[in-house]
Amino acid sequence: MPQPHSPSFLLCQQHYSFSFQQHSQTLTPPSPFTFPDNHQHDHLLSLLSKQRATHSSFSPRHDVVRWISTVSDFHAFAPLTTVLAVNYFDRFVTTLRFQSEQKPWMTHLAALACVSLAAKVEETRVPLLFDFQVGESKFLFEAKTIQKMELLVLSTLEWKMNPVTPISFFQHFLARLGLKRHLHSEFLCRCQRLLLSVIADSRVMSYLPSTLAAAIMIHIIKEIEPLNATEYQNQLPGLLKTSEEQVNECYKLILGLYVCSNGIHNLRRKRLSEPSSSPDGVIDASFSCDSSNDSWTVASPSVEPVFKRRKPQDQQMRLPSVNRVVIDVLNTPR
Amino acid sequence: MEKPGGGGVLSAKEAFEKLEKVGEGTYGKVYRAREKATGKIVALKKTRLHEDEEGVPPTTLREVSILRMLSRDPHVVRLMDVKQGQNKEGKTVLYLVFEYMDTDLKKFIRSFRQTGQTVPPQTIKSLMYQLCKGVAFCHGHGILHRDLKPHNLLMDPKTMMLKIADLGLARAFTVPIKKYTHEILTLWYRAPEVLLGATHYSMAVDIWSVGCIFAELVTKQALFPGDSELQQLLHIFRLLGTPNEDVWPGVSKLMNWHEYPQWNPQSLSTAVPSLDELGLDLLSQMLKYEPSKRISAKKAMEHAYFDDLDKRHL
Repeated sequence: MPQPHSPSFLLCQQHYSFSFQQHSQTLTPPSPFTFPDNHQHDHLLSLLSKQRATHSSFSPRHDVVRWISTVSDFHAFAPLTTVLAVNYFDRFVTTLRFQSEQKPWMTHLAALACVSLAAKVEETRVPLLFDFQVGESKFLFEAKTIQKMELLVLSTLEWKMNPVTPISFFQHFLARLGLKRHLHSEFLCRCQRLLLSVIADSRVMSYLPSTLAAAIMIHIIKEIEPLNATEYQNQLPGLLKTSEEQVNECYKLILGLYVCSNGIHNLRRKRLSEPSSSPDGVIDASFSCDSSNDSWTVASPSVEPVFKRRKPQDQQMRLPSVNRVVIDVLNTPR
Repeated sequence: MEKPGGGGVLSAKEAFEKLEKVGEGTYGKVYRAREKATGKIVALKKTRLHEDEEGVPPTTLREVSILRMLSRDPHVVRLMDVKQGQNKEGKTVLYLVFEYMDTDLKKFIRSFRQTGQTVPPQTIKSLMYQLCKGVAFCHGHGILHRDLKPHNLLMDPKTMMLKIADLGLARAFTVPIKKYTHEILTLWYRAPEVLLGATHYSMAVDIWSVGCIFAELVTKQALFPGDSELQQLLHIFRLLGTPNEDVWPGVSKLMNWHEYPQWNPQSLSTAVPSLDELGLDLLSQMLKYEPSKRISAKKAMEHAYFDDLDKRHL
């Protein structure tokens, strides 16, 4: 790999530019910047150009994100699975804009379908659909109902299920910052935990993934390498082709959230033994309804056995929640 | 691509006329069909969704979502639409509508084997370049194919255009590469790190497959035709030598590592005698034991082996 400031590095450098929207400016990196391999460079260009297409911001949906986090914790999903599920949910509800107050079960069903889809995209072992229904949810859905909602989510999102997320950027920036090798995994781990702790706040999610990633990394760098923090901080906006102002604004917001509450995850994954906070599974936000979702109707409790294909000990664990409403969805839009 | 899932007004049955069954996969059949409105020939991949089971299969979900990212590349098969319908029993069925390609590399190689002809060196070079280009495009977008084999490489025999297909096992990868399932990839094209139980693997698994395909194009025979995971490893070790910590640091710590018979590495020219020196050099870089030392698809495209190839239309 060419060394920074070596002639070969500088020769390479003159051709090294990002095309992000209309911008095409040459990048002149500070000294700790290491030249990435071709593959990583291509991948980063691809991420920067795609992030707007699969990014969405959406008004308060705190409870849903809390519930998604509970499910992810329960099944020990990767952080990316949680982030994908939230991304799908945000994009889905902003596209459909259904009325959550009138149909809280539908919001919960959408969240459930989003977690299921995220797990299928990202996890190597996917739980049964029934097993996603953890926490103190008011509703219990049959597999066929969840399947219908999965298909509705997929068609609404046009099957674009590999969006650019802040996690996409952490490693790419890390490779370019020249952070000490032994700190890499700790650094990534902390970045992901901080992301999970702020993801429930819709203000944070209104920033582009690359901006949010940079703001999170600045926060973590200040914890891990306080002496070099300023130097690293100055590099990040240049890597992003984004305004320093946006990154700083996002950073301040994260700092405020971090100080106030330490987030859902308290910056560490909850152990399974800890009781999880129980979301209502209903969004507080109101939606203007202009779609034909009135064809989604609630049927009387279904006769499908609640504990289908579950081990006896699991059934006993779940008995207190049997009084939840069992919902089936009829006349699903095709 | 038309918005998938919406599928316009017409159902799959109304929009297409099935002509013949051309294959069968894990979740359903593949048909050659005619689009009634345009007369265009397409491939319909039918996926059954059993309502009492687990929703949309992960393979279908990954294949469609990945093709939504990659389908604009000329060397990746084009997904034209996704249509939702119902079968006779009223069960939900998904139809993936692909551009139709006449043949695949497996059939192409077989036709040469049956006639006793060799594949012309420039044809091999062109096909390999297109394959490297398609794989480089996938990797550049953060996608591992994980099941590259001649059967999954579609071809137009008139234009000699090659396209990567069947992304049912493909997945988006994170950097650093995280833990993935090691039960992927058809045995003959499976990289040694996967055979030895590695669950943290990378783009290099696809490059190994590309190397195996390269050799097969030249000899018209599979390079490592094992019939079990152990036999597959032994085939590899006989040609490339039994790996050790010197040639592949960390190999002895892999999950399936045992004490294997000790073989010395053979020259690749013994296995692929008709391949020229530059071709052998490229092949050797694709079949390096240590995954991080294996050539990338992008670097492979720049290899001197391809210097005399007219790349303007590829």
